[in-house]
Amino acid sequence: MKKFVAVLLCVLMMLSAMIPAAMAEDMVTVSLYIPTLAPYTEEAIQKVQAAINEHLAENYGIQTKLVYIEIGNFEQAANLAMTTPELDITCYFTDGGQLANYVRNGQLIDLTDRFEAAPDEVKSVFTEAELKASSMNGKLYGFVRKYQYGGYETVVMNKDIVEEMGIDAASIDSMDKLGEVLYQVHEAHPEIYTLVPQSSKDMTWIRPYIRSVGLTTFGFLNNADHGELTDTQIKSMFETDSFRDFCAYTNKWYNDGLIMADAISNTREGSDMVTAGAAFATLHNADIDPLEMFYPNTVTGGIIVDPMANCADIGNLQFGISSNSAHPDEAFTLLCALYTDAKLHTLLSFGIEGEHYVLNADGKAEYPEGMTAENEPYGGFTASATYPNYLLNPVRATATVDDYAATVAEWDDSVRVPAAFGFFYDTSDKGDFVAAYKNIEEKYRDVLLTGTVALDDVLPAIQSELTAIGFYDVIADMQAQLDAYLAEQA
Amino acid sequence: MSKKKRGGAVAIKPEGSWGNVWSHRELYLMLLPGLIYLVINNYLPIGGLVMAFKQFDYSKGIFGSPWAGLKNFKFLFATRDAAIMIRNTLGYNAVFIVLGTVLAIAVAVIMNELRNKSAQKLYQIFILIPYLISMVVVSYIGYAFLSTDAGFINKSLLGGQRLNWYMTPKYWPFILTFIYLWKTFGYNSIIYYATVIGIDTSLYEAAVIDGANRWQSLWHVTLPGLRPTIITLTLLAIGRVFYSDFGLFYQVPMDSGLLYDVTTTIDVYVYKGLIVLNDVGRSAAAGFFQSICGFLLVMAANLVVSKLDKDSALF
Repeated sequence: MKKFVAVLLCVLMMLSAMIPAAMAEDMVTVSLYIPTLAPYTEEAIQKVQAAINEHLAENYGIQTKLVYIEIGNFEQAANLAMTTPELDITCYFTDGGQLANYVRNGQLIDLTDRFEAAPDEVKSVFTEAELKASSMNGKLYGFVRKYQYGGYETVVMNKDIVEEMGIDAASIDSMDKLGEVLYQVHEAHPEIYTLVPQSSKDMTWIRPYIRSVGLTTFGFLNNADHGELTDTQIKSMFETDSFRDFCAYTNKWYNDGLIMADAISNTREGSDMVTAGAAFATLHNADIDPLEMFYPNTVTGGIIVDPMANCADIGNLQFGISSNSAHPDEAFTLLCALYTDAKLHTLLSFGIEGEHYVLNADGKAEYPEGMTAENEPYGGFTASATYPNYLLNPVRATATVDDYAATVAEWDDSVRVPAAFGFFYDTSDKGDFVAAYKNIEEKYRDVLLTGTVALDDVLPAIQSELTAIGFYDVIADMQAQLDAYLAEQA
Repeated sequence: MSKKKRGGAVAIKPEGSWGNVWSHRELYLMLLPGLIYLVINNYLPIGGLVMAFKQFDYSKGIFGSPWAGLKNFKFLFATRDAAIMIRNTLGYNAVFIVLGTVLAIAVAVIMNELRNKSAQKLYQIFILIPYLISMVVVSYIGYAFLSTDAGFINKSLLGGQRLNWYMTPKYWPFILTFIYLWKTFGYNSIIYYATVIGIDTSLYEAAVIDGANRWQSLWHVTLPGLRPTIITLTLLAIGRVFYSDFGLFYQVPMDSGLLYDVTTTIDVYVYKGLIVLNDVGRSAAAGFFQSICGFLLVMAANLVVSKLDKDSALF
């Protein structure tokens, strides 16, 4: 009898495992690789994946497998996965030259023909600028994340100190005014750091004081405050006026004890230190959503550098299909759906309604009762920046606008785009140069931006090292191509 | 057929190498998992070295990608960083081999002199612990000591002086050497200790009868007994002098740009250069270069050893 029951249970278990497999057998599964900006539990991912697959089965006849990878390991893990058919769709960051690398290494499929044949509903999602930002040599390799372009530079300050000292936060709209406040705070609160890097040893992420050009990591133009966006003279980062000015401020502040002494070996997030009261301020980049929404106990200053964008800002995160994908057609179907299907995208980014988020009476999304960013198991609600098209999602209750799509469109129109936008410099035969340049940049960039050393003290050495790797020859070639491009555009 | 006595009975043992394998089949079966692992992990990847000579294209795979000749090797020598990273890699390894060996032998000998077995085991555990700590954790321990604002050295030993260690390259050859030795001497000393306790005790007794003091016993009995182990471990270390502990040179100095001249080794340069390129061809070329140089050095060192003392040579 026992044997009979055991055999019966085994058969039932096998059948239960086989039935869903048989049901999904006819459908192709497309994997989707996404970096995590917030905590996700495996259980929550599986639940959301099941809900998405139900929707995909009904509407597209495909299935998906969600692969979330911690953002710090994402590029390496995705690169490895791209050598196999395991990865179909991945997102990638372009500000480090990743699109150029992927194209050079044959890692992405050319989407040009597929996009041409796609329905108008898909084509109308992207502006001309966005399509340019994900193209190389006239071929389209991915879709940019729908998001506001670029941002402005501001400062995030500890609310308690701002209130205690009666600081007029909105009036801090230049580095000079920021300096005045920092000196006052340093005098009143010498026990805390006055200014800390935005993240680890990175003084500020987006670096609005310089603009990379040609989708490279080594050619730069001055920023808006130091020349019009029509400036087209390519230089090294270290030789732009705007970089020099920024470093002059930070170097003085560092020498006067305003910037944390361990800035170049710091491992903490600036906003965490400000929130916790261990530091007074950190430079930050902001766009539509107010930073106070993300960082409790903080006050945001005025605009230090006006909103602006460069080529990498417009498409700084893109989604493409691996050239080793076993199912490129189905992957393209899913990719298009992610940009057009609101239900699918909301499921993917917010999770399941009622479980991971709820809609309030105004139709705005918020955490279910008792849940916060810290304990919600599907982190997408706080990490919508890593999904393809957050404009399809319901507006969050904490948002300051009612219509994201309209606000983003307005924002994008107001953001200035450099004259060199759309120019692409081919680095496919310059791998040795890029590797050598990267070492020089990493050697000097952060120590200069944190003010740890003075630019004038190391500039001759930098220029000598740049000369040794043939930097100025490359820049001259790049400049000639940019001039020709601009002449053609005119 | 040969005959062999086993437990009084006469066993028939098949002749020839396969016959020998069959008669020891249980032992060979036990060997099999290790052998399979060795082939999969150590020998099959050798085929991947072909990537060092390919312009690797992800869509075409290893064998479909076009040949690149020696182009992938160029980036290692394209800049003046080449001299710095090769100097650092070889220089640190030379210091690590010499000091690491001396320290490990010294600790092994001292351990052997301890008569209290419990204390001996306790010390072994303590000196082995650093070897088991991840280099990332070590980097934070280092930071706790070296932080400008809150580090133990500045706060306690230098009386609040704000010496910025992560900006001062001249200290780092000593800091890195100290950390390397602290982390590895325990493990290495156990290998030497295992050899020391295996030395025939009658040799020590004879030395005592001959009137030798402890230093003389050490010099004339212990060190000669350790010589084969020293030579073997040194030869193995020489095979890896073109490699470096990435964590030690990247994590511990917190990737501080001002320290690059004394912390950039071949592995660190390759990592930093190629993380932006996703170029496996260049990575394979760097690995190929390190392996070939290490192989040639081991062959040369073994040749020298075999000329001086044939019995101590590896092959």
